[in-house]
Amino acid sequence: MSALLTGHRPWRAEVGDAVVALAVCRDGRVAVAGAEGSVTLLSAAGGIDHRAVVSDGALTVSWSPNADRLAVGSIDGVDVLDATGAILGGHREGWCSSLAWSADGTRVAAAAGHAVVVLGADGTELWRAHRGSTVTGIAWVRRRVATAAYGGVHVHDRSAAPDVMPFTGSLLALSVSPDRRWAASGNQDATLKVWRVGRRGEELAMSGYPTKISTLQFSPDSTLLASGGGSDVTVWDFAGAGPRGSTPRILRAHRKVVTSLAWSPSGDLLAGAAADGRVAVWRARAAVPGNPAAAVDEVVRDCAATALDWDGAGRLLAGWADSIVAAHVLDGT
Amino acid sequence: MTTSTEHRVPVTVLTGFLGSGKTTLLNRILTEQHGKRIAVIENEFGEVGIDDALVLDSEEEIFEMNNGCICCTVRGDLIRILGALMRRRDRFDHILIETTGLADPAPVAQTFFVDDEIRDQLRLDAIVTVVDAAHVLDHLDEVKPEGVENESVEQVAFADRMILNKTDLVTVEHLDLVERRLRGINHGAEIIRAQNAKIDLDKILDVGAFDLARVLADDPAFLTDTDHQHDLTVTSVGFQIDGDLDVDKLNDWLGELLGTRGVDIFRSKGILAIDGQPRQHVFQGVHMLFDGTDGRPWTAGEPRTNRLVFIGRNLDRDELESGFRGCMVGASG
Repeated sequence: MSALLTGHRPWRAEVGDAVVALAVCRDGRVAVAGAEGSVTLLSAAGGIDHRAVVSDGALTVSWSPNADRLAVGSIDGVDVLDATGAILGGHREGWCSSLAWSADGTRVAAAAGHAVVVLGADGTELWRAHRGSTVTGIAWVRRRVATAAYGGVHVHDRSAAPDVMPFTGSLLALSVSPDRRWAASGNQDATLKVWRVGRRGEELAMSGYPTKISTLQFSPDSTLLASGGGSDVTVWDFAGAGPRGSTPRILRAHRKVVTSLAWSPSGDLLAGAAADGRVAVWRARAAVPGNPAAAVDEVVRDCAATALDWDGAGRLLAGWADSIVAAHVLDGT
Repeated sequence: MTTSTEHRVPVTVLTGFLGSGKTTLLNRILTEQHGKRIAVIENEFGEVGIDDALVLDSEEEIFEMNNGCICCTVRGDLIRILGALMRRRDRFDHILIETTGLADPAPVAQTFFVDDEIRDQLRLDAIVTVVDAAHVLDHLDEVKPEGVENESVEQVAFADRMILNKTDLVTVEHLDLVERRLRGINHGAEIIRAQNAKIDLDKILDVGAFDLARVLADDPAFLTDTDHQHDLTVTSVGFQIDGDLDVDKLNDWLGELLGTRGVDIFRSKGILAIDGQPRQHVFQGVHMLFDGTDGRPWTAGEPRTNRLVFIGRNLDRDELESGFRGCMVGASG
């Protein structure tokens, strides 16, 4: 594990706004979105390169794959910024808590209230699709865009009718497996719903969570689905026949509700942030179903931890409600 | 179910028909010097723009909950917006939600019972309904198609405080008539007379638990009134009974009563003496959902008097009272 440490030191930065989301691009720069609408760009060493207020409240932030664009979702729209933080364009329309760049980085799909808008890399609108209520999750499925909203997941095509994966309830978060076989939603009614993309009759429903599920992430190899909902992280195994009838792995460290989850790029490690201020890291794959696994590393502060991401070198970036962002180098365990 | 209330931010819900003076009251709250930092969530576009207050727009999104409770709907828009507000560092002293004139208050109130994140951080302080003295009787008497609720009856039934506005436009006799009618629907709420929505804001902001003792003491006849049983109009039934309650019996009875009759019982409120508890138990329910918190301590020598009010249709006083008496310590069955 010593390779993790090379050339990357831990640091801590103050961004002047409660952190609600953060994203690391491949060269290690960090974009931080704040609850009062700020966007802060930090260098790989933690220095503040740029800071600006773009809205009355930011909700999410995402780098394009080639790190030349940044999209920021807010309570009243989306902005597309260049790598220096200059606003190129965007869209002022409705709630935007979810964003996703296409794999080639030429387009970004963003929630816009009751719609999804697909913008070009300069922020101009290319096409849109409507839902009956606020869009809460977005993911690309090849050239199509999946949206989560009350009533289920729709997979939209620019010109054809959407593929509908119905669910009677309020969806809060969406994750599509990288192999595009599965779409999963975390729901207000404390359930997890999973569909086989493009096939009917293979839906799964997982219940027993203590609270609503507002964060969930498929692992990079698509075999594990980590989900919040309460203070434990619940991990379902999608290898082979899928999770039907299986016992999930439980990852335990937090005392309050899990707010954010992020897999390391290799998929070996899972990080979870929680409202108790704790950021924990587990070896999720090694956990044994039915036997709650303890964290292998932790960072604790005394206010809610709200955002997480891994950089390409295996360093963990975390943000807290007291406006602190920290780059954490894992213990060499 | 008991939660500590001290750290939670109070929320006032402001309802009332268009033209009742609701917007005048909102403007008064925002401009008057009361030293509170207030965030406002508006459902109707008003011309409100005040430096010290954050004003957010919202569009009503009513979601059904998949919890087997047929009347359980919540406001998805409020869950999102309140969640975002609570992530800010500049905590507000008070949050005000203005509903549209036609809004059903039930999903708004139920939101505060159903969502864990909101329950942990926010407290529904009071539902304040502004009533136009000159026109409210027309609204209350308006005949709706079968299955359609009369929104003004609902807004009166759900109120913790009613502001009887525009008293200068009607005679004293008419005012008394209106007041009797309002009390007939909702006996638990204090009625405050006003002109041009001029009221003491302490009467509606951070009022804490409703003052059932005063309300019930005002009108002894109310405690024995059985005129309205098996009546489809919306009425109130209240009683006060000395003695200690068995908490298990109480939970069983309320669970059963509200589970089966919750469609008809709009609101239930109580200040209760639980066996072995030095503090008052403050109970409130909205349709099938209910919750309790610790109130002030019972003082030395103070009689441990239980006070309970139900507001709804088809209320049978004898049935409710005998059910409640069955929850007393030592009651048979």
